[in-house]
Amino acid sequence: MLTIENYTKHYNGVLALQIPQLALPKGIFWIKGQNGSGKTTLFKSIAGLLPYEGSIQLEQGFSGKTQPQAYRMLINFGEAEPVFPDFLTAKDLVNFIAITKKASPAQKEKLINTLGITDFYHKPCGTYSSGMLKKLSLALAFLGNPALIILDEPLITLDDQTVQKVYTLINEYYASGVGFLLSSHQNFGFSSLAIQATYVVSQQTIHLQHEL
Amino acid sequence: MLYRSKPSICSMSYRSIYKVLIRTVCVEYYRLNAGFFFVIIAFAFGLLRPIEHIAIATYLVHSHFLMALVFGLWTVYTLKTIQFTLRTFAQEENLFLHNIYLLPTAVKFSGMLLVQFILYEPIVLYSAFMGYYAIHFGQLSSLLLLGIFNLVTISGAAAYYVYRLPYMTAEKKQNRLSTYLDQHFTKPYFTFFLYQVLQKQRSLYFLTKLFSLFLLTGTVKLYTYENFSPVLLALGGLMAFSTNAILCFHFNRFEQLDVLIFKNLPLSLYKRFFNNTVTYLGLLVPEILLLMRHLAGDIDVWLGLQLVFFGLSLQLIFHGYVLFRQLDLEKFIRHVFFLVIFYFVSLLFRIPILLLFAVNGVTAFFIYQKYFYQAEVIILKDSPEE
Repeated sequence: MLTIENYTKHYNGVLALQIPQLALPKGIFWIKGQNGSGKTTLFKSIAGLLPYEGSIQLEQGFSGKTQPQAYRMLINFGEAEPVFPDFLTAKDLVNFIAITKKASPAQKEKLINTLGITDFYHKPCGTYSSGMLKKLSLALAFLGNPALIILDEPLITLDDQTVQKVYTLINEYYASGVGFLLSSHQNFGFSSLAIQATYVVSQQTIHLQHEL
Repeated sequence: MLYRSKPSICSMSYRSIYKVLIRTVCVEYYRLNAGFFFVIIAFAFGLLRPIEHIAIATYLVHSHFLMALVFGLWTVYTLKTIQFTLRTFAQEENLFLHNIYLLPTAVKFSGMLLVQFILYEPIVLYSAFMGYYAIHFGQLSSLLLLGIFNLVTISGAAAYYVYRLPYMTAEKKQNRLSTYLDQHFTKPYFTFFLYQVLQKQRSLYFLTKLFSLFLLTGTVKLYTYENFSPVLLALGGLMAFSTNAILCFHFNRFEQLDVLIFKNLPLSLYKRFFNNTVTYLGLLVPEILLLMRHLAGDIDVWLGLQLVFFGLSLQLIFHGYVLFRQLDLEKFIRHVFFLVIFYFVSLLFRIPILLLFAVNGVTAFFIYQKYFYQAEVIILKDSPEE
């Protein structure tokens, strides 16, 4: 699904994360780590939001550096604490990202209904609660035909009902061949998700903790 | 039985409140506007000699009409400070400031009076300069007007803050037109930053445009007066379009921070660059309209078009420059100053405007495609501009 080689990330000359080699087959992976360990840095690098040294490549052969457009078509990202410009509505964002990610109207409709965005679809993000922002961010992360979806803390600020819907969505997408990288401080229900392995980000690198 | 001492307005406990207000509102204001004041100072002391400053002050204190114009300009500045204070109070991290509402009215008012006085200080200083010449030339009515205007403006703003305190929350209200537009239309990508500027940086936008249009109008007038010299028009255009550099900086920050997630989208760099170009065209609409008004009349159509293209390419170069160097606002404005000098000299050497436009366009795209994915804005806690 994903291969990382000679990856290093510095902030102002200070090493934040270093991964000499990591190959992840298709599956659902749980990335753990304490606050500030570098999980989000890793996720943002894979999603193409942060520059880094080294290479990150998808099994389809696309690299974030050499084929930025094709690579980004296959990777979606949901932020831990999403922020969007206050004046944009959920509709603006969903339509914009659906066009760029080539999502079908049916998929768009399904995600809006499943995650309960309908009620605030036409309202600007500046009026949203943190839970509403999270739902919108998750809907955007599931749009299109990705090969990998990265969800940083997907369950925080969500109500129990929506958490179950997120589990269902992950399982549906996984069944259709989509891989996942998830991070969470909460325990994922192992019975709900087929987590393939757990990795821990600590001491500026990533270690395999548990494989099922 | 509980005994409560009633502290005076200047007591130690209130002084700590004033200190917090000054740190959260006033210090932040000057840190964020360092570039703006740098440009004003560079413009005032770079272009005008002391004798000319004295001449201007003398003219002003002798004419109530001219003073009214100056008061108008100062009112715009006051509105900028008021908007900044309201925005600061509405920010999530400053919600603790709302506890001021619990204090006696006199304390609230004196605290906000102090805040407004500090924000208004550049004008107080210039007023003192004008006041000196009003006394010198015996223009006591002008001196009185100056005093009254400043007193009313500062205390009026403080009273307005006290009145608005209970409502200065982060709660967003939407007007009917916005609700209608949001329900019936989807905002195209190129309009995102235009919305951002018009909704969140309105005063910055209007002050920039005011300054830019002022320069452009003066240039057009001089152009017709000075035998239609294209070099003069180009130089004036350069100065006017360069004042928009501050918007280029904020556009870049918008791209790198507010909509960072869009970097994950599979958009080609050509498309992103094209969208940015259209956004800049939108930002330059006031300048384009002003030039159009004079096209075919005072200005040759072809020359006017060249000037618009040149102005657009300057925005793209400034955008690329922020991307490439990742400077903070203060440093960026200083660098812009030197870039402008470079273009100024190039135009003086009569390098064709179209050639500068072409070189700028190609360079800007080159920088954009090379550095867009490489760029990273790291916000340090003490970073002044965010």
